[in-house]
Amino acid sequence: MLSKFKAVVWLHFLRFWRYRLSFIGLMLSEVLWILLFILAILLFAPKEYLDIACRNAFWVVICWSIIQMNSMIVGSWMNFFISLGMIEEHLIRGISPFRVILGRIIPSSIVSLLSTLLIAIVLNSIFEVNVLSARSPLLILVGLVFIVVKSLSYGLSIASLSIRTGIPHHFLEILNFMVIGILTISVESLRPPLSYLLLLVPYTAPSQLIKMGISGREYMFTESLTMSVVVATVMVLMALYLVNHAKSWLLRNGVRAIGRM
Amino acid sequence: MKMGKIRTLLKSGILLDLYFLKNNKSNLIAMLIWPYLMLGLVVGMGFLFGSPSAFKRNIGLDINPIAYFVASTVVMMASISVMWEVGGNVLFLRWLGILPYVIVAPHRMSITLVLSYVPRYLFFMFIQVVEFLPLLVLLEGVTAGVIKTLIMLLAVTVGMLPLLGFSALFASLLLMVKEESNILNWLNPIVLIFSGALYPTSLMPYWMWLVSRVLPTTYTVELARIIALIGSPQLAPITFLIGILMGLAVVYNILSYMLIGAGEKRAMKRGII
Repeated sequence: MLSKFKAVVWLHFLRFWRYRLSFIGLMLSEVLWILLFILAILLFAPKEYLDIACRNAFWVVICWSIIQMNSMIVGSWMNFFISLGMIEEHLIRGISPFRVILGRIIPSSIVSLLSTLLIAIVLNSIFEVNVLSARSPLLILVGLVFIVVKSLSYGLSIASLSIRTGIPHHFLEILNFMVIGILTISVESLRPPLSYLLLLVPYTAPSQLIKMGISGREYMFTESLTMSVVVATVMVLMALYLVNHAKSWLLRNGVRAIGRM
Repeated sequence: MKMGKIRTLLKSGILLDLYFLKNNKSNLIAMLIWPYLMLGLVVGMGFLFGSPSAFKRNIGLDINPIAYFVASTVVMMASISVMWEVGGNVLFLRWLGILPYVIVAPHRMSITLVLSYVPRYLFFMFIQVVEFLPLLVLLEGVTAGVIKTLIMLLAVTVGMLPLLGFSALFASLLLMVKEESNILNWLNPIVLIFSGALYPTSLMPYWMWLVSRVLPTTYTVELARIIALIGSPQLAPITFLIGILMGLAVVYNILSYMLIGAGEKRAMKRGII
């Protein structure tokens, strides 16, 4: 068990090192795209509120970037893995291909972390706003952990589904884009029971925790934390169910693509 | 080059796209949704974190923020399309394993890249610009909406000419280097940032403003953005910007024509195709 885990970790660190230029390119492009949009969004912010607008926009875009990164780097890798014929190779050696795919969290986390730091430095130098400063860093961290867990579950679910059916890349991107809308909606703007319903939407509750962490103003804290735990648990269980289902389907029917011989 | 050969290349480009759309309907739907998503992201978040009046104050002009970002979105889509489809086509051809065949074909590589792409660009950009017509009509009324849509069509059509040469220049560079996708990935957003696609060049530091002056996309953005100004568009700035774009078109296309040959020779000599 431990040796399999070590092999997966080793594989992804090795790949990260071998394709370092590729990952640097990915990180740079991520930073530039995010910067392009943040600069445009901040054009709307009055100068006196630039500080808070900058920090809010920064965290919304960072959350989106994590979700996007986990769904694309983790979820979309299955296609590549199938085309290389690696599914069969791992199955006959008794290693779940999903465990290998899950290891993609290593490059996706490194890219997300470095991109976040780089964007923070750039925004700090342009607007002189320390976007990493927060009233409650712990709340931001908790919110980010939930976002990572949920997006990873989502990525694994996509990977499982792509075993049986083709998933259009464009629609994944469009769906990820729509998540921004979810991240920006403020729970404070809605009254119960609508606000409770909103917290049930994936990513909303953790993003609410992050907003509390930025401003230091608590609003529906217990509800947001509870919903974060509930929704994350449901998403993890769903991902596990889909993974197990896909694995047994694979063993019965084989891989639908022709692997490299 | 004979007219017959040009016609053959154009025809193959048109047929390729028609069959691509016929067989990839999800791509067509995604293409229609993308521009509105990009616009929705910027304007939606902008309105959430600020206001249109603050936007006008920050820009220093009496403009409509939605029309401003409609123009930005259209030019961004055009720029991404040209850079990836002309510059990045070398990459796709290499991945497919057909780059050697394209290089040994009777047409010059640069001509093939550009001519087979032109019909696709015009067709797709026409769809994406016209997509915004209902929104512009809603914002500005029927006459102004139609005029402003026509100006955007003019901007992306004239703006394509220097951008084709500019992208072909990068195609020649991509023939020489191995990590081509890494270059293209960050090249696109860099070009867009320096061109002031979303953040105006007038608010940038002086050195960034200087770089923006040599990029063809800067003038395409400025031409398209005329539609954002409140009131009827003036003819003088339109003519001026078209003049600059035509001048840049001559410079970049001559440069690319000269350099892509060198790129092809070097790639074949080093055997990296």
